[in-house]
Amino acid sequence: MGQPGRGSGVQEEGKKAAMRILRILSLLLFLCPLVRVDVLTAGADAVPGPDQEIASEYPAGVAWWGTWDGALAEAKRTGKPILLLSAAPQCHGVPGIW
Amino acid sequence: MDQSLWSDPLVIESSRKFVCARLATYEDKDEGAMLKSIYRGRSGELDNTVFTVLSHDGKSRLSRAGRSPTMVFGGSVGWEGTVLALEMDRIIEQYKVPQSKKANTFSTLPIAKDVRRAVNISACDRLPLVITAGLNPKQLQKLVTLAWKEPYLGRFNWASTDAISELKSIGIEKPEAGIWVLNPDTYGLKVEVIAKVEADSKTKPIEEALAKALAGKRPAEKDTRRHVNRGNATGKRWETEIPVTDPGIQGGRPRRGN
Repeated sequence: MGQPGRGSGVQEEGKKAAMRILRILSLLLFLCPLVRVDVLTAGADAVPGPDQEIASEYPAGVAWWGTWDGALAEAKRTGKPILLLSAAPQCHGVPGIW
Repeated sequence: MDQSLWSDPLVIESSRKFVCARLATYEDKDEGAMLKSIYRGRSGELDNTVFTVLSHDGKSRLSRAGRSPTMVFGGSVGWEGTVLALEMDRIIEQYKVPQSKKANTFSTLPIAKDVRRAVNISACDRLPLVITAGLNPKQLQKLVTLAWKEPYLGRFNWASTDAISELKSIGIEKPEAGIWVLNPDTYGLKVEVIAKVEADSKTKPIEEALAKALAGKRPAEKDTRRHVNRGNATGKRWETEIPVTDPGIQGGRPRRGN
């Protein structure tokens, strides 16, 4: 006698679960228009492309003299020692990179 | 050149006690010979990068010479900046600056060799560039005062020319005398004008122009391989003054893993 009862119980559980899913889906459908499109697409904008600039401050940097004559004259005038660095402003013949 | 090393706050602080010279390798015959006398690579020729510390007259070495500060002073990964700053401070402590010298004033603008190279170097640094065109000594002196004070110190590259027509070659359509505040393009061949101030301007408009540049966005760091590949594909080429003798950066496309 217990078997049919258990079967109807299972059916009841199934109906309740289906109702819960329907309620969640209805809620989602209701909320969808409230979500701003720019929020959904913000992620795409946040990833910079290869040549895209990213927002950034200009941090403090070393104040470089660009020529040996200029640096040497300044060092002789001030008595400061010279930190000498040299690097090529091109790589494989392409400019714009150290 | 490891740019992260030179943006280390400790290194920047220590650098103020030195005259910091950053030359452009292969861009000047005389400088090339001088650099070669200081350090040669395995090939016996001038390498792409050279580093050393010299006395104020340029005659004595205060450190070994090498391709980079890390090669000269060492420092494990992540500590190179700290080690460099400590070594710089050690050198300063031991160095006897002659009392008669004027260490607290500046005489001239820290200009690049010429306009063309200044634009390229600014692109490498991802910094704005100030070009003075046809300024007289008094007008230049006003800029000298600004160039060496905060917040402009170390945040701009500088160039100076009396040949106004030179500005046309870097993309300025209507060249004229004055103070040009510019952004270089990615490849350092052309510029975008941020602001232009009259040569005889007072200090305030000049500072406003400089501030406008610093309020802008800084270009993103470049990926060397991608930059070189795109440069090659779009015909962005650079001619050096003397032959490139470092096999690592000679002409052609980058090798795998370079």
